Amino acid sequence: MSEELFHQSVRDVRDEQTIGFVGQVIRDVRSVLLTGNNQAPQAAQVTTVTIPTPSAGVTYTVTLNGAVTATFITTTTSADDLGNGLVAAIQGAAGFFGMATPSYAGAVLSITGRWPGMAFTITATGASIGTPTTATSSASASAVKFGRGLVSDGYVDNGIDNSTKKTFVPSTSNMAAMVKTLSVTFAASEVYLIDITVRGQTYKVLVDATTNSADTATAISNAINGVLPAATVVATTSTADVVLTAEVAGQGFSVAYGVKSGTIARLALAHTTDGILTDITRCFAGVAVRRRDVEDADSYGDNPEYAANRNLEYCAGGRIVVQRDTAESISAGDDIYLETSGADAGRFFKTASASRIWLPPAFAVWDRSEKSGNSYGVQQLRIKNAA
Amino acid sequence: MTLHFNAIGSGASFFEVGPSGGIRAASEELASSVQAPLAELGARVDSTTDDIGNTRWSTYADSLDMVEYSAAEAASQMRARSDSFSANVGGGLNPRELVGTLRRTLEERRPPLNYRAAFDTNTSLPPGLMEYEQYRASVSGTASIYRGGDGSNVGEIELANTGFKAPIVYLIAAISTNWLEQLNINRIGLGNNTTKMRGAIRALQEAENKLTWTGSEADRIYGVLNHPYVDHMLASIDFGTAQPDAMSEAMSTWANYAEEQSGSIFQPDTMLIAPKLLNYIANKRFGSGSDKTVLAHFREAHPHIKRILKVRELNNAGPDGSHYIVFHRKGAGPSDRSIELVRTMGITPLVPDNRPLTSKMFLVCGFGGANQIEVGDALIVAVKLTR
Repeated sequence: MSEELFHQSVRDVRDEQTIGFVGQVIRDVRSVLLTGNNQAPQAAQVTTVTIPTPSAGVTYTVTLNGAVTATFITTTTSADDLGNGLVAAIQGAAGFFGMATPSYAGAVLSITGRWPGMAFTITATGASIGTPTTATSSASASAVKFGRGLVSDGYVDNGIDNSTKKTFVPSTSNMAAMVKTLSVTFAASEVYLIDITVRGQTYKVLVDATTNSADTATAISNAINGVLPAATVVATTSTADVVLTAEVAGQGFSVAYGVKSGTIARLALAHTTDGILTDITRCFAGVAVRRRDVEDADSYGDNPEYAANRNLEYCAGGRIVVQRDTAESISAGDDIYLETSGADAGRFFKTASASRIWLPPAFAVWDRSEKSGNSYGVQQLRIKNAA
Repeated sequence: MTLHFNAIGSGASFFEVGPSGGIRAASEELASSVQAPLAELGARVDSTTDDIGNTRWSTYADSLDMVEYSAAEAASQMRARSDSFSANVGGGLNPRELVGTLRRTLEERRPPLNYRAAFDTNTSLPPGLMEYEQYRASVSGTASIYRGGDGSNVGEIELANTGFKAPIVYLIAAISTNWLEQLNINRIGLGNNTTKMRGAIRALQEAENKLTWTGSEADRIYGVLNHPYVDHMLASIDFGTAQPDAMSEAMSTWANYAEEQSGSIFQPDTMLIAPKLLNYIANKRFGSGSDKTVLAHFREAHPHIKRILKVRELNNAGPDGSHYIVFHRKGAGPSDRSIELVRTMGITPLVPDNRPLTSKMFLVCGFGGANQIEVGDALIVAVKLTR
């Protein structure tokens, strides 16, 4: 708790207690509390340097953080010799090799950090050698705030622990948009039936064959876009293919299809982009739990959060208090959407948007609301199931 | 010898057991004599037909079982083999009783864990902490020559702190026993619980060992082999093909690296070496006609290397299957070492969770990985050994 908010003025006195703090678990026999590890997204820095075709007897250097220099003097006019020579020089420069490892292929020297989230600077000198370019920036895992929804794409694999799930807040960058491709074969007088189920609702189109496969695909695509609401699935065409793409990364959908003639081969479905992070029903892990032993992110801030690359506690079943948008009034049975964008990523809302994933009621439902008249912005969520 | 048994039934209440082969005859005789009265008794209950066509009543069958058991007991007392008896009389002794079990149960051998031998442990931090910080104070500024004036142009000596922060993780392992299992253990006197407990301790030690050497990227625990502040080097020679002179020269460079780079401030006193490398240099003659090995020469020429420890974790741990040599200072105490392990809690059993049918026990320990105290005071060299 911060010093700033420690003081309570006469106006701060509340008539009634809140139903709980964000992230607080209503502990009962249905509570399932597990350990996760937030290590996403993270990346080790990769810096590349283009290696020129050198003259013999020229000195080339690559320097780490302006301090540790690896030097190679060419003896041939081969770019490969220069590249491999610099690799060997870096491997022999103890302070350099401890921080990053070099590799060379195809006239490019790559220098990869040993640890994710640890940035370094590379400078290179020598005739015609390329300017070092950061191909991959170092990135640490994101912190996780209490009461935020979490997804998981597997287990930690560090040679010790294979029972802790990797858990992280869904975002537009780490979730993927599901893509399915429906190939259309034209036949005169054929009628094509396509069902698309998204957000628990099935949308159906019946399209007559036009004049050829491509035109028929366009007709099907238009029909689909005519019935599907915003932020669900959008259809585009590519020759005789109808490409169905989720408009919200992580919002899964399913497609059923048929033809009037019964010649089913006139439609063929391919799961073009299909992975655990394309569908919230495969990756929803639970909600981050409030703990009093988690420190504030800033000194004197009132913003405790699970730091990057730390284990966290999450609720995979039972009731937990989450943050409610005070502009929303929630009733039992309302839809639940999980935000994936910006600072609100991981929060739960009842209204849809272009960056919110619909969470099926089989996974979670709204539970007890605040007392009438209170608007502290909290709401209980009951997690029924996690992937 | 004649034994008398009080058998069930009224008519023939005794039967004789001869020194050899008499049991079968006696028990058949008994069977026929007790059959009639038991049949009368059994007539009042449901009968069954056995697999050789005889009508059996439960009372009759029970009495025969007892007769068979008694006969077998008698045979046992006479040390007679009775496992050749016909099935309808009963074998009595189990042939397995002729098999003896050696008292000692063999346990799977596990490789040694070298982390405690290789490094000292800092146990100054109490349990419960989630992170540790290591600060280093540095003083800057220079003296100048005074030639008069009010001294306002004299630069002051400044003090600065730099910090290093790393997490502490709590490792946990659990064992449990259920009621029936415990009943079995009590009956036969096996040390299952002790073995399980040893297994849990070993699992925790293996986890600490693994974290010590390679750390955990997921948890941001730094290990010795990939610590960003420990200098690394790839040997420019292959020990499998290099001449002893070259090997000796290279090892000398590494052993003296810290001293030469630091202006004689640092000096390693410990060499941790992959057993494959050590065995090789312990057998490689220093030159033709020499009675000294490369290892013997190294020891003689580098008296400051007081400890040489074989560490199997360093075998094939480097790039391209190379082996590692780690030079570091173990020193004379906490203020004289280059790498230490941070441990907030030794392996500790928690209070058993006893329930009517199960008893579960958790073992925990707190570990923070490797802390590189003196930056630059350790060197890790990857050495190829192509044979």
